[in-house]
Amino acid sequence: MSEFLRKYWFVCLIAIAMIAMLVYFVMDMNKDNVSGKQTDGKDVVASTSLGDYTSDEMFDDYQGFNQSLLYYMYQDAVVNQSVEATPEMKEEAKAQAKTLETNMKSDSTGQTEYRLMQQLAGFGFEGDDAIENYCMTSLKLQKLERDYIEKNKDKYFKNVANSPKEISIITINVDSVDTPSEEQKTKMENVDKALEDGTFADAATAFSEDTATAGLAGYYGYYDESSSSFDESIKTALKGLKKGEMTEWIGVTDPQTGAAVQYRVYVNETDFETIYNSENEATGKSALNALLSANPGLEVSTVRDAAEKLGDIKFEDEEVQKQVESYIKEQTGGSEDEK
Amino acid sequence: MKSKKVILSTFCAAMLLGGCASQVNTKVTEPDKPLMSIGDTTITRNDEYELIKRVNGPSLMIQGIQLLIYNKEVPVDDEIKKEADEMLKSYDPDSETFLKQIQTYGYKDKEEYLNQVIIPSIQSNKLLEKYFEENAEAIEETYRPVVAAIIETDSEDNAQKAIDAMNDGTSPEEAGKQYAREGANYTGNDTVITTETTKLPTRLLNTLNETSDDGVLSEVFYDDTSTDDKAYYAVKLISRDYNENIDLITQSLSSNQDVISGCMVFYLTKYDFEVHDQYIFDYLKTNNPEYLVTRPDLTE
Repeated sequence: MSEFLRKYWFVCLIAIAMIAMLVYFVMDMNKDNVSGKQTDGKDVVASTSLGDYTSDEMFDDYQGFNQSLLYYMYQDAVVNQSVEATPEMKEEAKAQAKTLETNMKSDSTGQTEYRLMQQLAGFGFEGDDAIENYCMTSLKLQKLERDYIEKNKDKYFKNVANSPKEISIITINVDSVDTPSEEQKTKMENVDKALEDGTFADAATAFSEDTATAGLAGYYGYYDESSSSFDESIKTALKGLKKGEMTEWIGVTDPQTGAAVQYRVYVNETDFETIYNSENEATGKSALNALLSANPGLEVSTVRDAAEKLGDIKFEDEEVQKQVESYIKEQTGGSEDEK
Repeated sequence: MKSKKVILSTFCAAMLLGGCASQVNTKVTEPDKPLMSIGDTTITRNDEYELIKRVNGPSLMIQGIQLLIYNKEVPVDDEIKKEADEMLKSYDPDSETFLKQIQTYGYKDKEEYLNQVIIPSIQSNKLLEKYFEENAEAIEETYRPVVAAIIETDSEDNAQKAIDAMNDGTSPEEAGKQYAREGANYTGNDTVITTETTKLPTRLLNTLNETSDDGVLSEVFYDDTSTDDKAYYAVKLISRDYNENIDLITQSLSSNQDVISGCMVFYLTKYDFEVHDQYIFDYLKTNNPEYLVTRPDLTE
C-alpha cells in the first residue's frame, strides 16, 4: 500500500479532490430536498413536536371551497376532448405560452412564477406544461364559444352594450394641449389636409406618431365605453358617432407623466356582428370577450352544450357531481339554450 | 490497478445517482380513486389534491399548524368562547344576509364560521400577547419601546409653555388641552415610541432613545422640514419599563407585519416546524423563507 501511495501519490491526491468535489456537489444539490414522513399511513405535509398536518387534512380543509376548482377540471376535460387542436392552434398556444413565460421569468425572485402557477392551478392546470396547456385549452374554448354563439346569436348579441365600435387613430405629440409649438401645429394641419384629400388610413400612415398603430394605417381595433385605454374626453367625442365619421382634434394630457397628445379618432364600424367577425384576430377576440362579459354564464353554457354532445361523462363521486352541477346551474341561471 | 479504477468509477456513479434522489411530493390517501370520467380522461382524488396544493396549499398548511400551536399555547377556554360569541352576535348571525355572505366564503353555517374563523382569530391575538411576554428581551432590543407623553404645538413659544406647565406639575393631558395645536396627532396622552415610529423629528426620537431618566425633557423639538407649518414638540418621558407597559406596547406593535411574522417564526421554532412536501418547501423558500426555521441560512 505504501509503495502504491509513494508511486501514485499525485493520482491519489487528484482522486481525493475529485471525490470531495463530487460529495460537495451532491450535498449541495440535495440540501433543499425535504425528507418524507408518514403518520397512520398518511403523507405528512408539515410536522411539529405538537403534531402533524397531513395531505388528507389539506384535502379535507379545502372541501367547501373547491366548487370552482372541480368545475374547471371538468371544463378542461370537456373542452380538450371536444376540439381537435389544429397546427395553427398549436403554434398560437406555443407563442402565447412563450410570452407568459418570458414575463414570468423577468422576476428573478420567482414570486411572479408562483403567483401565475397558483392562478393556473385555480383553472385546473399544474405541472411543467401548465402554461402551454392553459393557452391551448383557452384557444379550444374560444372555438367552442364561437360555434355555440353562432347557433344562439339572437339571444346573445342583443345584450352587448357600451356602444362597441371598430376604430382607427391618429396622434400627434405636443408640448402642451393648449399651446402646441409651431412645428406641432404644422403637423396637425398636415393631417387635416391629408384627411380632406384622402383616406384616414393614408393620413395615419403618413403622419400618425402613435407607435402601436401608425404602421397599421392607424388601425386600433375594438373599442367600447368600458375601455380604460382612452381618456373620458375621447369617449365623449366618440359617443353617437356613426360608421365613417371621425372626431375633431382631442387633446389629452397624461396625469402621471404630463405627456400631451392630440388625437383624431375614426369609426370604421359600429355593427357588432361585423366587428365580431373581423378579419383582425385581436379585434374579433376583444369582441368575443365583450360578448362573454355581456352574457354571464355564456361560457358555462358553451361547455354544458359540448358535454352533452360528448355524452361520455360519468361522476363516480356524488358530492363532486353535486358541486359541478350546482356551479353550472348558478352560472347559467338554470336556463337552457336553443340547440 | 484495473480493479481500483472500477471501484473508483463505481463509487462516482453511485454518488451521482445518490445526488439525483427524487423529491418528496405528498399524495392524498386513495390517490387513484376516480372522481369523474370525461371521455378518455379520468380525474382522480390526487389530481384534485395536486391542484389544491398549488391553489392554496401553503396557506392551508400554515393555518393547520397554527391551530396546533393555538391549542397548545392559548387553548379555547370560557373567556375565549365568550369573546367569540360576542363577536359573532355583532354580525347579526341569524340574518339571511350574514348566512349568504359566509356561504359565499365557503362556510356552511354560523357555527362553522365561529369555530373556523372567529375563535382562531381571537386565539391569534392572544398568542401575540403571549409572544410579547415570552420574547420580551428580543422585542425590547429590536424595537426599544418607551412610553412618552408628547404635545404637538404650533410654535416654539407654546411648546416651551407646555414644558414649563408640566414641570410645574400640570399633567401632560391638561397641558395638551391648553397648548396642543388644532388637529394635532400628539396631545399629551401616553404614547409608545419605538424604532418603528417615523412621524416625529429624528432628534426627538434619538433623545428619547438615549434618555434614561423619566421626566420632562427640557428641549423643544421641531419637525425636520423647512415649511412654515412646522410643528414644535414638548416631551415627557413616562417610562422605559417594558413589563410595566406591556399592554400598551403590545397594542402599539401588534399590527406591525414584522412583529406578526416574528411571532409566527418564534412559535414555529419552539415546536420544531418542518416541511415534508417539496412543493410547499420550494414555495416557502421563495415567498416566506423565514418560516423554514430549520434552514436559517435561507434568510441570511
